[in-house]
Amino acid sequence: MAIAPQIIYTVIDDSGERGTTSINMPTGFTLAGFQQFAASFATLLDAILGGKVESAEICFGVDLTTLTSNVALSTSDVEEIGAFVFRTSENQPVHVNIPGLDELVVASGSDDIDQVNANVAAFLAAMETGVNTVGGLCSPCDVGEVDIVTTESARERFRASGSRR
Amino acid sequence: MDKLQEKIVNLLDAHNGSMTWQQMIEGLEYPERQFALQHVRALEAQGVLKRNVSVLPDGGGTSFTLDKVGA
Repeated sequence: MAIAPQIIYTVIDDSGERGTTSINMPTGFTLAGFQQFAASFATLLDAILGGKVESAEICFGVDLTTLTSNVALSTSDVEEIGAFVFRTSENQPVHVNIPGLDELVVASGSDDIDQVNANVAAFLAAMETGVNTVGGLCSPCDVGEVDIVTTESARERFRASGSRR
Repeated sequence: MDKLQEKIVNLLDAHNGSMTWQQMIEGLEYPERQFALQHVRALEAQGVLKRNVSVLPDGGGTSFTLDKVGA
């Protein structure tokens, strides 16, 4: 069983606090394909975060300078977490906790992330169906490279920020 | 096919087989738009449409469209 490569995104908020999240990718893509996948997911994260996506790393840096709207909003806070639970084709859970969530993507009067919001819907579509890159369709997976196929839950959570590195 | 699924397919046809998520949402009423995602997933499972997320060239970001299969 191949071990899936992982992209680690660092998000910074207006107060300079940092948090990280990660997404696994299947093996077998070219370097350019991995870089496109990582950069495209950065745009998807940027659309649902109040924080700034500061960096993305696989084992190499990924250029995020093209994200012209990627700034830390004055209301951004990396302790506001987008807590997503996805399911693989083998019905195993994959937890993705994204710091610095934008309050605008949370349904009013609840802690549910609005899955009909266009930016959230794009993120979920990319997680569930993948992203078309130069190397072909690249779809997120679990650490065992089993494809993520659906979303179980998407909620806003609050917790102390922490870095994976 | 569910009525809302038919409506989504009709919207897709009206947009020549490809539309953005926002175009779909604007074409639906409240509260049916709240159920749009589950019906899009169902249509995808039936092979009627596909959610397409693609990298745009030259650092242009990412596009997200709903595309009719075989259109």
